[in-house]
Amino acid sequence: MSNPETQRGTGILPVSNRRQGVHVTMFASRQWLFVPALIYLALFWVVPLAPGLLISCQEPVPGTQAFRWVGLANYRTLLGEKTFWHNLSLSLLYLIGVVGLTTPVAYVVALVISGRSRVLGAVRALFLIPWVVPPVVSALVFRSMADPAIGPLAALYRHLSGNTELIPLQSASWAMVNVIVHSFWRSVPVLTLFLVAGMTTISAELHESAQVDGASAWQRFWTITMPLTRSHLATGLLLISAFTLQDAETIYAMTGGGPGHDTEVAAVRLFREAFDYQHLHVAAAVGTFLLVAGVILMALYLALFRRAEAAT
Amino acid sequence: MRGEKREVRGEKKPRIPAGRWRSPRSSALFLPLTSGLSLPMGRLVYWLVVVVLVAFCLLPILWGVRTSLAPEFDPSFVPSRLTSEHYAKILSRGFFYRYTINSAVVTLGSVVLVLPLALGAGYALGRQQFWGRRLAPVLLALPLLPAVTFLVPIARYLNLFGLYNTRTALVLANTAFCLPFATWMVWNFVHALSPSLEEAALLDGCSHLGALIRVILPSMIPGAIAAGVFVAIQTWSNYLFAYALSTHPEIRVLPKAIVDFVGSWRTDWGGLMAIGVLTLLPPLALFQILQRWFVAGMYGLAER
Repeated sequence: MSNPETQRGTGILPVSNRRQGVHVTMFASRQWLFVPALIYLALFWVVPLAPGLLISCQEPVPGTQAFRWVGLANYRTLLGEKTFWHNLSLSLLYLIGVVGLTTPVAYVVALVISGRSRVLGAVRALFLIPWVVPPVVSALVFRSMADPAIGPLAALYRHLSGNTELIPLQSASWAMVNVIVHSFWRSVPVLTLFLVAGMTTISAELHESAQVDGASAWQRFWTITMPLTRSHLATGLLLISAFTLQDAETIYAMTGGGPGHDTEVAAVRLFREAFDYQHLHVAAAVGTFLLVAGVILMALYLALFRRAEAAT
Repeated sequence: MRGEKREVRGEKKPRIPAGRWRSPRSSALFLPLTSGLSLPMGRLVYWLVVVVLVAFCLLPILWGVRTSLAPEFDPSFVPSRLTSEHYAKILSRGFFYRYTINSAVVTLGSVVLVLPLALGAGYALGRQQFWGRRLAPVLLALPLLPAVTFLVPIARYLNLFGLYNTRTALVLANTAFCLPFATWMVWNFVHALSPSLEEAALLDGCSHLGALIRVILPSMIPGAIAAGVFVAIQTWSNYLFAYALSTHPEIRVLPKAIVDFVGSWRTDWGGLMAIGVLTLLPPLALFQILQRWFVAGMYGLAER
């Protein structure tokens, strides 16, 4: 939207009639290019919603392939069960842990790589690499790093806990720590990207004039950089939150949800119920909870987007 | 976010940078950490922070590479000797090639399917005010919904069409997941393009289709590359759909193969990391080669 040429083309700014005429004839047919993607997305993201909800209100009839309607019984069972509350609180812990660790580190990375230096130019792309590694590969790397026989993280955890016999992935709390640290490592590049995008929109003059007025670097960070990157931070965090909440694969690959159920966040519960135990109805009910969380995040995202659009 | 940008930046109109992180031409953004320190001291702290952060990003990958080259049960970080036995073991087994081919087919298929859809949608959104503009943010925010929730219905659905346990199923599912982001990327690129070229082509008597093919498509190549790299990396790495939509070993893809090996090779970290490194290489190479376009695309995504 920053380019005046583009804006003329998109019809946001008034243009002369002659030029408008060209656009009308030229673009009249263009909107249909959007339709195939629309249909495709609807087929995969909207149509499955109904069968998903339907399964969550059914249960299998023992001994047959059939399902029968049970209303909200699956939800009642879930909410009455201790494990499910454990799943939900682990999801929350996972989310808070990843967001809490990622935010400060991503700010430092973003500040560092927006510095000017020739060497930096070469290392900038390195900061995106954790995102390029396939999630299950990095999950297994972190699993091996937490293996007491060889892993450096295991040594670190033993040092931190003061327990020299600690087997991190067999301990409820340290397994969760390892899961969080891994997702944190993967999330930093994503959030950094958003923050750098925000920081480049801050004019240098603003910082310079603040500097002339005697503001320290800390003051400038809190009064200029922070507030002006707030909406980028919000969008980035929403994205990370959504991906953290729905992440089943990295935890499944690293711990399988164990020891016991101690790293079994809601998404992993769904995954296990659906594909390890074939309890499709339970999985679908868990899915509804995740879906509600996803819809809330989506609504927040759209609200942010609308505000930005309105301000432009 | 664009609103605040506009307020502070006054007359300046930053555009999506062509393939590099735009750094503000001012030392004013320097780390607060270095404030109050003398210049050489500040520089030292700054570069120390850079080194720590680079280490943070790279150490896990180096560890994976190290483990794939180290003899079994060598606990020191720098192994006493290097060995290629783990790679030899993996590469001597036929299944590895089959899984690699499966992964490549699924990845290529998704890229081929996503690109026309994303280019069309991104172009329409970037060039015209129409009903799609209002719908687009909702559609493009769809990946915020948990994909894992959709697995069961999608699996049933594909089963209905006889597609369960086929590579086609994986292509279709990955496409659905990648399409929104790919469309965002193309939309951003189209935004940054001036429409004057197309206008000129039309005024010169080019037909709509002719303008589309001869003028617009070539100018969208950078956007297509960015979106293509994104889709390729995502699809190559995807485990969720591979797990949910295929059980047959014939169509197993690499991420699924890796996780499946863990069970039987619980302690064979060398072998596991060797497959891990081999799986990581293609996306890393793609990223390295097409970095210029890809980073710009990701960056545009973040600017939204």
